[in-house]
Amino acid sequence: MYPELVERGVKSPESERCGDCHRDIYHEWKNSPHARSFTSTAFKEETNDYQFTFCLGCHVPETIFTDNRVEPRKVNPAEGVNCNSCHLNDCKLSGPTPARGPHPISERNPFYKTSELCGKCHVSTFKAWQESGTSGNKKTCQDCHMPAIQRKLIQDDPWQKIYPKREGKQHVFSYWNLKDHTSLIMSFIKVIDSENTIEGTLEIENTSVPHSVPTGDYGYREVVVTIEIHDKTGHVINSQKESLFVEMSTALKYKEKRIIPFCFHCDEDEWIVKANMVRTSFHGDTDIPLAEVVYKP
Amino acid sequence: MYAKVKELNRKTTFRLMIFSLAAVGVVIFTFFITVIRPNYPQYCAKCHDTITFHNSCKKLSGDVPCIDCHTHENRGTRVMAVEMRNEHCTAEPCHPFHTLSAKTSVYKSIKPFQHKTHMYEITENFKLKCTSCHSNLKGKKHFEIDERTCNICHFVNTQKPMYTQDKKPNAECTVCHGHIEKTKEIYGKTFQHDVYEENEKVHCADCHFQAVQGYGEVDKRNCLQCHSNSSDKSQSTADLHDIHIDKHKTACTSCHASIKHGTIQAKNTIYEGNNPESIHGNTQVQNLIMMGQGGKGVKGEPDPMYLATLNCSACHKDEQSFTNVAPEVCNNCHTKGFDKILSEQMDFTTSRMRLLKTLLINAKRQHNATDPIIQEAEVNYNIIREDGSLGVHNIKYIKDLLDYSIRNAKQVTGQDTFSYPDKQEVISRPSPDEHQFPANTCIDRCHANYMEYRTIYQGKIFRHNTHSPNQRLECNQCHNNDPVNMETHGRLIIQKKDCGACHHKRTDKVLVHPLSSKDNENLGKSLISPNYPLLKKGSGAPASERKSLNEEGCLRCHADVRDYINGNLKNIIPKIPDWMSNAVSCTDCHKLELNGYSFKTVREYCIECHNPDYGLLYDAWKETLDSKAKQFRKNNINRNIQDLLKQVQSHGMHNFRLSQMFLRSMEQ
Repeated sequence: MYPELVERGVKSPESERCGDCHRDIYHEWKNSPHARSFTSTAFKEETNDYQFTFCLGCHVPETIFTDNRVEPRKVNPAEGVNCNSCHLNDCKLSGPTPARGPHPISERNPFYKTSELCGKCHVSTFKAWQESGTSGNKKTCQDCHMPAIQRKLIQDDPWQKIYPKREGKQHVFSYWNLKDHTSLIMSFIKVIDSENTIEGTLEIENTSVPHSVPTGDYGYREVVVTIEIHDKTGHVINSQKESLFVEMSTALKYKEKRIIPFCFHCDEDEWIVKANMVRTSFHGDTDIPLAEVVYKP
Repeated sequence: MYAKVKELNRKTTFRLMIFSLAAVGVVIFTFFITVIRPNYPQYCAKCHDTITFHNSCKKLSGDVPCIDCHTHENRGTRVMAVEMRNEHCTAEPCHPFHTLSAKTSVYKSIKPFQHKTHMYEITENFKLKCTSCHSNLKGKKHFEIDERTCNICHFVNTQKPMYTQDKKPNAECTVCHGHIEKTKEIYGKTFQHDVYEENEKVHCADCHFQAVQGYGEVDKRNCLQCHSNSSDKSQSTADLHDIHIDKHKTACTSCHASIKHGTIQAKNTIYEGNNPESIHGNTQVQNLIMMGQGGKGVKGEPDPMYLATLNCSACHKDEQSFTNVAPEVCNNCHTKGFDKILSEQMDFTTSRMRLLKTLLINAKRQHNATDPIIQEAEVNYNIIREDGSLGVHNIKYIKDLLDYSIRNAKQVTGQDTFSYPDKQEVISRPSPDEHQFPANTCIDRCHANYMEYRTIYQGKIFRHNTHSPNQRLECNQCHNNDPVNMETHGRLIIQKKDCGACHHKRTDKVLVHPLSSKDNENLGKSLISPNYPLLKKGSGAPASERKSLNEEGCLRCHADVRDYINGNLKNIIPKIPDWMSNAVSCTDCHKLELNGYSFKTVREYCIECHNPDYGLLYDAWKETLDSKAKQFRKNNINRNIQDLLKQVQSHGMHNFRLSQMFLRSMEQ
């Protein structure tokens, strides 16, 4: 049944077809960056209206299962990285879990649990992950970016009624939902208040993100560490910013600690120093908090 | 008786015969004396021994008897005619008119003389005879031409000007004077007379002072030299000429005052102080300045225009007051562009005079006004002011005077004088002379005010003084100095890489701007880019701080590129900055070659920081911008768009999104 779901080339199916049954996953994906990989304004601009075709391989992949460069899909480019991009393997729809279904299936494929899968496109992040050592508790990409969830694989009636709930993965592919605030730790090492000058050092540490922060090869990726001194009413008296970029070799590597010295002039008697780390966009309009710390004397 | 008579008759006959023979002899002798001998000029020359014939007269027809020409007048035998009709001269064996007309004769160094152009009725009743010119008025040679006669005809100041047969005023220089191959060295430049001959705007009188002196007027008292009473005679010029020239031979100079013509020798007497009133009323100061004299403390040289014997009127065309000079007047003789020099010289002198005046006021307030240095400066100030040309009459001299006086006045008032940077600190030092910079002559006279030039170079104001004298660059290190071809003269010959040889050079030394009154804000700042060591990527310094330090030097010249990266352009709202504008500094992508001044290709650093895909991206950007910009440039003549396209082509890569926006808007 449904042999068209494993077609390639111009007959490659739309993801909506997958979404007929895999409704939850479809909706997760639809809101994920993978679904916007082609339509995002930035990508459109940066590729000169899609004229720079060498970007399309990863942004609109037909399938990542290839030994050569990933080739772009010929249809539905607006879907970006769609279901078949990752799940179409050797003319079967593959996945890590046990499965039964009306289309060719390759179940319990362990490859889907490895970071190498993501590394097909996210080359340098995967490389950084590989190089970050092999300590036991090192997480894979999926551990963080596809949070685990207990649910049925399909949601359409009537088949879902007979489908068991299993541990699955949310297809959000993002740090949006990262609730873990222990991966990146900030702490004030020392703060000295002398003659209206507050001097000190802030330590930032990447304890358990097994790639640099920020990471990646493409697009604008900046993490900003802001240290602010507030007066008692909460107004910012002074601030200092430090940007982290991969390209500038200032990204915070796995297990790396970094000291950021700061020095503020402050006439107030009561003050607090706050530091936060955010993943920011180029225009600074979508800041995603990564860590925060407050120092009260 | 018969015999007696016969004897007597024989005696008588004999006597009679002897007497008759004697009589015949006397008759023959008398005939010889009166008829034959006068046919030999020697006969006349016995008394008129001051007369010599022109040799050619003798060659043609043997000795020409005086009486061939000087026939008897019908007023008694003793009067020989001094006047002679043309027919006497133009007779076939002598100078027939057709042979005279056929050839030209050489007279002095003027154009070949032609008889035929002088033998017609020039004005009413005024026609020259041979003897009008060949009149032996001057002395030795019998047919000598008196130059004064030529001058009177050619330059006489009449109400009815005389014209040549081809309708040229006969006083025009070119009627007689042709091509003159004369050269003159003036301060290393060669003046060539022939260059100016062809220039229609240059008049001979612009340089040749008072080539005609006198008016050739007729004073009635001259009549009394010959006539006892002239009042009742006809006063009409035509009649007078008819009587005196055509009917009789009267020298022109007998009636007309003589006219001098020629170059005034012995320098320009016009400038010689002995009789300035004869030329212009009060031009002594101007004369002094032009000669490079009159000021104090500086040994001056004459202005090149003075050496070229330029007449005041060459520039002062304004005949009312002689004070207004239109700058374009320079272009009459010189090539286009010299009009700018005039105002430049005036601007320079004006500002320097203002400075000197202020200094003098301060100096007098602080010190005794009788200080010789102050007095000297004041004399210089006054003479320059009195000259009134604001430097134009002798810019080099006035410049030297001003420099000298300003330097002195500054010393007196204790103001710092300009000092050149330490020799180790400047990059190129072609000349050791501290006070002569640049050493070539460009700034002596023409580009006097070059330090004030506000040249736009690549969208920036280029300051000459920071390069020369401050960095001791010579004009010709950057500019073409072709003295002949004014099209190319002054064009930039320096290339980007030459600028880079200084500006991009790595050095441990901080190159600083030397003292310069207008550039104090730059004191101690890096002159060149960048002030090493560079802050490397990931060095721990905050990104913005690192960036601004690394770029400080670059932005001195390339601020427009930074504006482009930041999307910070005029009329472009909102700003469209490039992604890399936040943290990437110029030196992250533009890295020097080993030679220390040219740059490696950027592409490899795209790959180094990012990955090989960015090399492809670099190529794609470049190709897109190049092809689009070229295409639009071809099809568009709007100047604003052309300027924009130029920017896109030159540094569009620095902000691809902005460039894209420009190109897209043009497409629409």
